[in-house]
Amino acid sequence: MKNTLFIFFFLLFPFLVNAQEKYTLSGNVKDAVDGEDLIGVTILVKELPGTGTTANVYGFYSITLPKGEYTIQYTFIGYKTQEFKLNFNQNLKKNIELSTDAAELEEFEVTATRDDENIGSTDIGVTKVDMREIESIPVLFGERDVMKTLQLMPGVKSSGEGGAGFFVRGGGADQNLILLDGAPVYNASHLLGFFSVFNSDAIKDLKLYKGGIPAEYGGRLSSVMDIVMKDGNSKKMEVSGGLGLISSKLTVEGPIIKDKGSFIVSGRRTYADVFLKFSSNKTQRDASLYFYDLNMKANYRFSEKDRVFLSGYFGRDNLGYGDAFGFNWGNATGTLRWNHLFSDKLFSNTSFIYSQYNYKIEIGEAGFKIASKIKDITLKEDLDYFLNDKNKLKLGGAIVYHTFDPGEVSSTEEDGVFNNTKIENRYSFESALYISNEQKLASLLTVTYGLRYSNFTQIGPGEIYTYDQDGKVSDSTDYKSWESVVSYSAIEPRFALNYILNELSSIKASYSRSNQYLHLLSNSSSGSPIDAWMPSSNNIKPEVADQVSLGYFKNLKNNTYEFSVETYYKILQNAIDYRTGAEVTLNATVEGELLYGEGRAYGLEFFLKKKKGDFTGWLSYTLARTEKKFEEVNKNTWYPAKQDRTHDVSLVLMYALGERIKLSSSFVFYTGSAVTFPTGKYVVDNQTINLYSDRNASRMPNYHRMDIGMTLENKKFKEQINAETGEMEKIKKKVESSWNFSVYNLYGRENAYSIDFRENEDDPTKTEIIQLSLFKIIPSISYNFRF
Amino acid sequence: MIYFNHIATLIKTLLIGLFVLIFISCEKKIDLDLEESRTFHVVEAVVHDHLGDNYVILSRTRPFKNNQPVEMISNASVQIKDDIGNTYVLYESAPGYYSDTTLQGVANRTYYLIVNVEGKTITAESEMNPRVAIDSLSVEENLEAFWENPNVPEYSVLCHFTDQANSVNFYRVKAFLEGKQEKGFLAFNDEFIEGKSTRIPVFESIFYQGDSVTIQFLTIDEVNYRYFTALSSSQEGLVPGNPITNIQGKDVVGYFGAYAKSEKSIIVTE
Repeated sequence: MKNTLFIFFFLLFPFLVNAQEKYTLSGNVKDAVDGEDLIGVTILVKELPGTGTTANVYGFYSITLPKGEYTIQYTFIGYKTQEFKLNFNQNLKKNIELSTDAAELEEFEVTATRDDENIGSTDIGVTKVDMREIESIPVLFGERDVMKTLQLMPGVKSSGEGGAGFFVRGGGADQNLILLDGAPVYNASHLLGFFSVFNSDAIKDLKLYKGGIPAEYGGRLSSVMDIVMKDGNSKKMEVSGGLGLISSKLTVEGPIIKDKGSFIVSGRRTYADVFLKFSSNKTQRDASLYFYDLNMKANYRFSEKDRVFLSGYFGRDNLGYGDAFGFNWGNATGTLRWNHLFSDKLFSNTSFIYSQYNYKIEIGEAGFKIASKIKDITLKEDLDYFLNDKNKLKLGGAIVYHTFDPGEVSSTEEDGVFNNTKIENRYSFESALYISNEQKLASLLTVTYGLRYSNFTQIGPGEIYTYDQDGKVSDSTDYKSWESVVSYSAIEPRFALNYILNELSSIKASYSRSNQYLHLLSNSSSGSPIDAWMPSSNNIKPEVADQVSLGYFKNLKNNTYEFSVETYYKILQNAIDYRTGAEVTLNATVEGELLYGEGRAYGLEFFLKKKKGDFTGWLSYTLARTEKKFEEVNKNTWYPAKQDRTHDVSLVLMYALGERIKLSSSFVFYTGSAVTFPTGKYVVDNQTINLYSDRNASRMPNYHRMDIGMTLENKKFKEQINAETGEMEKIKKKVESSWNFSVYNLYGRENAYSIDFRENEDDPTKTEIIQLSLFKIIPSISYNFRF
Repeated sequence: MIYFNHIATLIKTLLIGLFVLIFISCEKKIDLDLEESRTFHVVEAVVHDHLGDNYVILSRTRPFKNNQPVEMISNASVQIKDDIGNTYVLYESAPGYYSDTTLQGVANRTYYLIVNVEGKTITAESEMNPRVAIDSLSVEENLEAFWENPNVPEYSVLCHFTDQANSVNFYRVKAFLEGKQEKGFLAFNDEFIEGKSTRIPVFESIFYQGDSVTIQFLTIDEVNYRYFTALSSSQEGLVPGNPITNIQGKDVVGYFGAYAKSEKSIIVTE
C-alpha cells in the first residue's frame, strides 16, 4: 500500500515543478447542426506530435502549451476535422462546432476524419456504440436497442433469447453498473427482458468499460455502462418519431433560448396487447401487457462558466388481467447537475441524483398486494483538471444513501388472505473518493493511474440476524436509527497503459480492482422484475474482483479495418450462490439462503471491423471460461458459472446500396449456458422427482440465429420547376422519413428458451424432455420520421 | 413463503403465456444425452395422528430416460420408534409398502425411522405438531384466460383454516382427485398469516365440474417444510439440486414426516 502511494506521488511530481511560460486554450465542442455537445473530440497540436487532449462528457476541453504559434486540430469520428492557427501569447477561449461527413455541404473540403482513435487512447476494454450503427442493425420486432447492439461486441454476451440483459467477461448480470446521466438504473429491461429501458432516440452516447475501469466509477465488478442522454437541439425545434409493429415513439426537442439552452422530451409506448383484443377469450381481451418510457432533459447556460442540466427518466411495465391480477414495475431516475468552470483548466460537475426501482403486485381475487422498492439518493462531485499538455487529472467523490424495501404485503379487502406484514427495510451509506491522472510519459507512452477509496456502512434501524452453518438464524440484535451495523472499506487501484508501436498499432494493458456492495438475488435464470437487490451486511461481505487485461490494436489498409485482440483474467472473492431450492422472494431471512465462495474468469477476444466504404461491419469472437468454487457445491471443486460460454461469435454486415437503401444482417452463435440437468428420477407422493448430481454440469443446446434488415430512406428532395428560371431544381423536403424492414431469426432456428424434464401428460409413469422455443421467424416493419 | 415463489412462477408463466399468444413459439419433445447417476434408495415415510394411518415406501431411483416401472424394494426391516420408548415394526403389505396397524401418532412426540436394507442403515426423525383443522373447503372459477378449452370452465379448490396463534407453524396441503394424489408440493409457514383465519388455493391443481376432491391439511415440522419448499423450487429450476432432507444414510433421497392430519372433501360445482 505504501508503495502504491509513493509511486503515485512520484508520478504526480513532474507537474509540481513548472517554470516555462504557458497559456491555456479552452472551450466547448458542439455539433454544428443540432448543437449537441460532442463527447471525446480529440484536440491535437500539429507542431507537437503526440500532444493533445480530449473533450470531456460535457464537450469541454482545455489544453495548456508553452508560448508560441500552433496549429490546433479538432477531430472526431464521423465529423470533419477543423484546424486553426493560434498564437498562444495569452489564455484563449474557442468554442467549436463540427459538422458531420454526411452533411453533404460540398463547399467544405473534407480534410480527414479521426479514425485511428482506437490506437491512441489508453482505453482498453472499452466498447463504444455508434448510435448511427444501431439504426441499421436488425433486431427483434424492429425495436432498436443499444443493449442488443452491445451484445454483438466481443466479451459481451446476451443473457438469452431476445434478451436485453448481458454478461460482461463472465460477470453476472448484476455486476454491470448501468448509469443513465449518472443515475444507476437497477432494472434495465422491460417485459421478460426482451427490450431494454433505453429508448435509443433519446441517447447521445454510450460507453461500456469491460476492464481497466476508470477510478471515477465503482460499485460493480464487471463493467460500467455510461449512457448520456441527448441534450436536445439547441438550434431549432425538431420533432422525430417512429411507428412500429409493437411500439411507437415520439421525440420533441428544441432550444429554450437559442445556443444557451435546450430541452428534449422523448416517449415510447408498446402496444403488444393490442393483438390480444382479437382473442376470442374474454379475459384475454381484458388483459394488458405494455410498457412505456419517458426521457426528459433540459439544460441552460447561465454564464460562460455555469451550466445546469436537469434530466429524468420514468418507465413502467404493466401486466394485468382485468381486476383479478395486476403487476407493474419500473425505474424512475432524476439528475440535477451543475457544471462550473473554476478556471480555464479546472472543470467541476456537481450532481444530485435520485434513482428508484419498484414493483407492485395486486391479486384482486385473494385480496392482497405486494410492494417492494430500492431507492438511492446520491450527492457527487467530479473535477476535471487539465493540468498541462502531459497530465489530465480527475478527482472527486460521492456519497449514496440506499434504502432497501424488500417487501410489504397488505390486504386490499377485509377478508384478504394475509395479515399486513412488512419485511424490515435495510439502510446503508456507500461513499467513495477517487483521484486519477492520465499522463503522457513519453510521446508513445501514455498511462492512466488512479486510486479509489470506497466505504459501505450498513446502518439501523432494524433487527439484524446472524446465521449458522446451515443458514438458520442463530442470533438477532436490534439496532437504532443511524447506528452502524457493519462497515467495509477498500482501496481500489486502477491502472491502464498504452504504448504506441507505430502509427497503426499499439499495445495496451490494464489492472483494476473493484468492490461490489449490492447483490441481486434472482428468482430465475433469465432475470425477473421481482429479483431483489440486497446490500452487503454483517452476513454478506462485499464482492471483490481483480482484473488484468492486455490488448493489441492494429489498423489496416489506411484505417479501413480495425483489428484488436484482448485477453483478460479475473479473480473474484466473496462470490455469491444459492443453497438448493433457495427462496429469494419476500423472505426476511434470505441471507441464510446464500453461499459464499470464489470465482475466476478468463478469455480471449478478437474483433475485426471494416469501417469505411459501402460495405461495412464486424466480426467478433470470444473464447472464454467462467468458473465458481463453493465449499457446499460440487464437493468444493471449480464448476462453470451459469453464464459460462466457451464460444461466442457475432458477425454484422452492412451494405449501402446506393444513397437510399441500407441492407444489414447479423449472425450470432454461442455455446449453450451451463445448467443442471437431472441425472435420474424417482417417485414420491405419486409424482416424479428429478434426481440431480453436480451443479451446472450440463449444457443448453448451442444458440445460433441470423437476422436481416433493410432501411429505405425516402427521397430527401423533391424536384420542381422554378417559376422564374423555368429549370428543374431540387428542394429539400420538410419531412425526412424512412422505412425499416427486418426479419428476426431468418432461418427459423428453434433455439431453446427453456428445457423441461417432466411427466408425460397422458401417462405420468413416463417422463419426457420438452424444449420451449420462443421466436421462430418474426418479420417486422417500422416507419421513422423527422421534421 | 411458498406462496410468493408461486407468484414469481405465475408471473413468468403469464408473461410467457402472453408472448406465446401474441407471437409464434413452440414446444417440442427433444432428446438429450444425459449423464446417469448411480442408483439411490428412495424413502417416502409418513406417520399420521390416526390409528394405523402410516406408511413407508421403499424404491430405487432410475435413469431419467428409463420409462420402465419403478423398482420397489422388498424384504427390508422397517421400524418406527417414538420418544417415550414405543417401538413399532412395520410389515410389508405390498412390494415395497410397509405399515403398522397399531401405530397412532401423538402430538408433541418425536418419531424415529430406522430402515435396514441391503446392508445399509437409513434413519430419520420428525416431530409431530398439534393438529390444525380445516374450517371448510370452497371452489372458485379460474380466470377464463387460462382455460385450456374456452367452453370448459376450470376451477380451483381453496382450503380455509385458522392459523394457531402465538406459535410458529408449518403446513402442507395435499389434494386428491377421486382418491389419487394430485401433483405439486404445497408447503408454507405462517409468517404472513400469524393467527389469521385464511384460505389457500391448491395452486397446481385444476378441477372440473363434478370432480370429487379431497384435501388433506397437514401440520408439519420445520425440516419437512424446508424439504418441500426446496423440492418445489428446485424442481422449478432456480437452483436445481437434491433438497436437504431429514433422511440420513448413504445415497438416499426422500423424506420422513410425522403429520397431524385434517381431511375434508368437496364436489366441484358452479
